[in-house]
Amino acid sequence: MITNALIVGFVLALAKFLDWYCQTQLSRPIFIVSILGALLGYPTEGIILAAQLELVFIGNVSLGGVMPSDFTLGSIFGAAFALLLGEDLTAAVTLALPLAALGTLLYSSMKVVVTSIVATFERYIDEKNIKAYKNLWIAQFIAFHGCYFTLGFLCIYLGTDVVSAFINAIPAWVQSSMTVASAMLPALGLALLLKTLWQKETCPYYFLGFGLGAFVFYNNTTAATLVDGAVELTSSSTKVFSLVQIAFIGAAIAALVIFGELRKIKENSNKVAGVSNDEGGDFFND
Amino acid sequence: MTSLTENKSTGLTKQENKLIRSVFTRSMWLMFCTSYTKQQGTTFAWTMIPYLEDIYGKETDEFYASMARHQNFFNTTPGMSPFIFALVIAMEQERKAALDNGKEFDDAAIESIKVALMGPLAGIGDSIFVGALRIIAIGVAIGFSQSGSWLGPILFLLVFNIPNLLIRYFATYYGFKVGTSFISQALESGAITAFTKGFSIMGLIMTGAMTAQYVSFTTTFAADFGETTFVLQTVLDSILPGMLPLGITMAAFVYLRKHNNPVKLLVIMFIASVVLTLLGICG
Repeated sequence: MITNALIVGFVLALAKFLDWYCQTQLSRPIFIVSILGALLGYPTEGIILAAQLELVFIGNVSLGGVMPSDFTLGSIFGAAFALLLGEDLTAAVTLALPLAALGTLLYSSMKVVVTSIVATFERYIDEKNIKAYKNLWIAQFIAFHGCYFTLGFLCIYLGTDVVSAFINAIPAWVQSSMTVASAMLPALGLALLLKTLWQKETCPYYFLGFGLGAFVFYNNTTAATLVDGAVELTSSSTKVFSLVQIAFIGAAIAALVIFGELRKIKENSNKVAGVSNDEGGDFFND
Repeated sequence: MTSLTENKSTGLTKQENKLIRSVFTRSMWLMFCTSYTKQQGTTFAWTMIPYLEDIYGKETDEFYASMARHQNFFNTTPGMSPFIFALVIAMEQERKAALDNGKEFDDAAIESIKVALMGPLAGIGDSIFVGALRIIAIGVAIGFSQSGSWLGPILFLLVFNIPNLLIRYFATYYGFKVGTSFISQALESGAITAFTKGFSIMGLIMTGAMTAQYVSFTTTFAADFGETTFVLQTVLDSILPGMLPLGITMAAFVYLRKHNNPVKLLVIMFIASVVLTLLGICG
């Protein structure tokens, strides 16, 4: 248990580091939960869980230092408990969502601490003490990650039995509603995403993307059985376009729009230049 | 100063290349320890320490004066920040050269470049990194991840971070190379708006595609009328495939636009899931 607790503590601190260092996006569930799974000894389950949690939190991004929900913390704890207790996605999501909300609370209070020492930084510069400035910066850096490491360690070390009892106490109907909820939740994530992207004049592109993803499919024959001397085919509908292919089409469309906009800008500036040239011509003709 | 202008046409010196590499790596720390009052301000000054020490000398009054100037509020997309760092360092170099030659230099010019750039660069940066690149990376990777393949997380790492590093490197490079004239031109001509629009369109298309492929909400409602069975999902599919996912996403979007309360919406969705499950419509 100590090893597992150390691993979760480490992954949590690593996630917090990767979230900010170079903005690699590697703190997103799709990557960090895969790492967590591998370290805990469940590589394949970890990757699949990572994909599912990514979909739940797809719209959650921290922009401008504002974190709507600490999806990193939520997914890591949700996935860790699910993997360690041999539970599935439902349990991971059930745990991840409230923990993500709690994580935001923790993050906000940490940011209050960081904000309160801004004045100290200013004072050090006034006092011309660059060494203290550098040390304070490193101290808050270490303290921040140390907090998350300790949190991860303690929660797994002390909390696993509690969480296990909690999961076992969940009745079946709640579990199946959680499965329904996890199918619905990506809609919330995508809606959040849409809120940042939506503009009246470009919104049709959203529906174009939806159409490419939803309408084009073919019937894929998956099995054939002989029923009363006649062949009966079992088929399932398969999407024709993968997201990669849609991204390809999307890039082409985006390029068209950019070129069009740039041409418009050029024409406008030519027009302005042209007018002034004409005036110049008139001036000389006169 | 003169060597700086000469190099604009002939390329960069060894020393400047070293500076570019240094700014490229050091600017990666910008997001650490952000505060409510100054956002990245404190770390912006922290990042500037070695460069300002280089320009003004260690422990000098000029060094502390410039440190004080750089502690102001700052906030932009971290991926675009190397451009501003490079620009600001170039301007500090010019400032030092001007003062050494007994000329005046308006300190407010440096501050106003920072303020003028952080907004537009955050706009285009967020649409590149968060709107387009991140969604494309997830789109490429998630299929592999869902089948438990290591290709998923690895592709996610590469698809996002190769462009991320390239943008950061070239942002640093151009910050030094083109100086202040280019960006004011790009702002004036509106080229930035054109690119922002293009990237957000790409993001919209991917968001639409993911609505179709990853909101897997379906109904299991079926009614038996003796001879025929009525399966609600089949009927819905024949009207418009993906109708429910699109409907739910749109409803969530409209709600968020009006109320901007994701947590409340989350609770509503949970309650709806429970109700729909208990009614036997889903699950």
